[in-house]
Amino acid sequence: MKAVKAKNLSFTYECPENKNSLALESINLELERGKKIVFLGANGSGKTTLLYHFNGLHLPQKGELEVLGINVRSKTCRELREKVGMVFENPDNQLISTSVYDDVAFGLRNYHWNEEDIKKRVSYILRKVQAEELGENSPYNLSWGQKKRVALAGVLVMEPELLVLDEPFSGLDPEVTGHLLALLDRVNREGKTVVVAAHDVDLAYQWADEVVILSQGKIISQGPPEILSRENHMNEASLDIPLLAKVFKTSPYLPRTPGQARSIIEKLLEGDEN
Amino acid sequence: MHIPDGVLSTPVVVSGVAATGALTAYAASKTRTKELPKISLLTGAFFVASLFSLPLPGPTCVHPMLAAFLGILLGSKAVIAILVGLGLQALLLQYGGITTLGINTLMVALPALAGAQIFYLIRGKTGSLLTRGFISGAVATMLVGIFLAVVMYFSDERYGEGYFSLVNMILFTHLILAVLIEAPVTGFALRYLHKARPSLLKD
Amino acid sequence: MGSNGQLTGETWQPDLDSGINSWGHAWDTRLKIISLLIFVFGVVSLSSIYTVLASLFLSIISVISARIRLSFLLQRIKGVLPFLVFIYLGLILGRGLEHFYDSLYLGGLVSLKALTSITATLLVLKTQSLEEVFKGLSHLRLPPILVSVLFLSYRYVFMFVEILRDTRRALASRGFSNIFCRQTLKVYGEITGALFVKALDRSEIVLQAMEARGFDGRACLPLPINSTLQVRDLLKTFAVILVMAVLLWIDRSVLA
Repeated sequence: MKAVKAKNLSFTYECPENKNSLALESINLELERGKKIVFLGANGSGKTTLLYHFNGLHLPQKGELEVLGINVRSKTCRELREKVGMVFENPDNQLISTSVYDDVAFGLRNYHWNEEDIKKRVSYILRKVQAEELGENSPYNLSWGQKKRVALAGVLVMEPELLVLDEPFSGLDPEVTGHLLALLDRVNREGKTVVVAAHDVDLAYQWADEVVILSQGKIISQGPPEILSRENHMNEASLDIPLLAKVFKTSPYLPRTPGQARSIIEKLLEGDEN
Repeated sequence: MHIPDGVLSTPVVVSGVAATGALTAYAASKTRTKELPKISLLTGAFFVASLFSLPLPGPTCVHPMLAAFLGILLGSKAVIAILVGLGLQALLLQYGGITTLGINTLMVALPALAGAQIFYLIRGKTGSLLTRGFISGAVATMLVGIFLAVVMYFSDERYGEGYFSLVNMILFTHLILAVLIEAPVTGFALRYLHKARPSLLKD
Repeated sequence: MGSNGQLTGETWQPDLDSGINSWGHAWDTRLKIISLLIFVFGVVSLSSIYTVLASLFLSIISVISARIRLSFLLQRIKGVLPFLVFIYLGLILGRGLEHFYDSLYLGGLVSLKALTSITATLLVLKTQSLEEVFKGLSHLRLPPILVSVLFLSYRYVFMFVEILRDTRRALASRGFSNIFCRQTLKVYGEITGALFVKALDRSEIVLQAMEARGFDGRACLPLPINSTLQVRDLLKTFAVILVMAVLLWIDRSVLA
């Protein structure tokens, strides 16, 4: 069973203020389960709109969409949202409760868990995201990084099979980004499919198992991170190729991480000396 | 101008509680729970916007009421926003009392609804949004003043004795506020709203 | 509240450093709210200055014995002072010197009632968090939609306060001066419009975020509360009812 299977999916925003705008056009997409997938594209390319379809916030106006084997039109969205967790770009839009504990418990209460089980589950998840000490705090008083962690906790607490994150790294410093990536790796190792919408091409190149490039509501390309080194696709999407790909452009090598790049350079230098 | 506890008589206070309860129940029955975030965030915005200190001629400032503006945005559901907004102001800032929450809510909510009705009624008479906003903001504020004067007078006739009585001072100050502050602020706010989100105004 | 109208944290933080073991802190939130309402409605209906003074005295003693700082009382009085001054002015100027003492008596009665209400309210507001007060209200059969709006709007009030603060800074850095003129009113009108547009836009995304976590329009209330009903809580509430009943009897029968 695929994590996501879209066929000719199209979606248009109805804007009374402007003319209607076509956000997604004939999207054909298949995502494997258990992978880390990054959606890349410039602002307005349709990444967020597509992500919103995965848990039924938007429904396709044309075409079909199956998420975790569930046709999004055939079941009520509540059942889908128990399996597909969505973390929004701005955590202030998601953290609605007056305490961190109540916010993380929000989803479980919507699905009528009893309070004893909620207490255990929330404590476990807050420990997992390293936010245990924040339980009684107001979301208002948290730093941006803390808000991001708590927003993630509020979704992970429901044990989704598919985790969708919209620009999770925006506004984070490198250290906090590293912690978040490590947490997502851990979640992925537990068998969950992780889908991230991002702008950071270098991050996607180093971290993802698979990338999907969007431009103006269409999928330009999909495949392993190495496809990000293809300038024609990246130019079409108004994106730049990864830095490592730029540096090694004229060479036969294509390292994915700085560590690999260092090894290649060291070997080349050893070869020169000899 | 939120009335604190102790100013009004018990019958007036109890009537306020009963009337607000009925109005709120009516508004709640018309509210779909999916409108909850919209009403809540507008309540938060109302709470904060009414903390602005707007200058008057001279060394004084005043806080805007924005009754008509809220009535135009939310219709009958403005009652819920006003009740919760005033409740938060009473709890957090001691603006107004507990027993007087009902009367304070009615004092703002009824003019809010009236202001909204006037805004849409005069649509045919003048197309200018600014003018319509001015008129509805001014009328709503005057109605607040009249309501306040009436409840004060019904609580104790001594509030109405003399030329410079409390009742007369309330009417006079609300006239000034209506013309100098609420009318222009409401008009400019509505004009901004129309430019940013024209679909929000049911024109 | 700060002198320039900004909210400060002091006004709603629970008085945690006054001792969690006071009788006020140990009182069940729901019964505390009910007791407050009975007490304040009772005080408002008193007509003699002596019974009002007695109720004020009892309120102050309760607040002190619950180890709540009286500085909170002074802060909260600031909110009500302008209206009380207005009442005094209206009564004295309107009724003239021949009714001076009667005006003073009425003004005094009103002021003392207001002060008693503020003091008694401190016992609820300063002995647990405001969130616990809201949860207590949700247990008292308030309509779920009202309680939900209360929670959600309280959560977002602080965000709007920050937006307002940033807007003020941006205005000041471009030379805006807060004087009475058309331009100032236009700016405030547009800031107001912008604030409400931001609120509306954000509310759409907040609804999506709530629905993404299974919210289907039914509020999940009442939320669990951090206290359990005990006999001593009922006794405290009964004591309040008894005191108010005695004061009302004295007010109506003895001093009338």
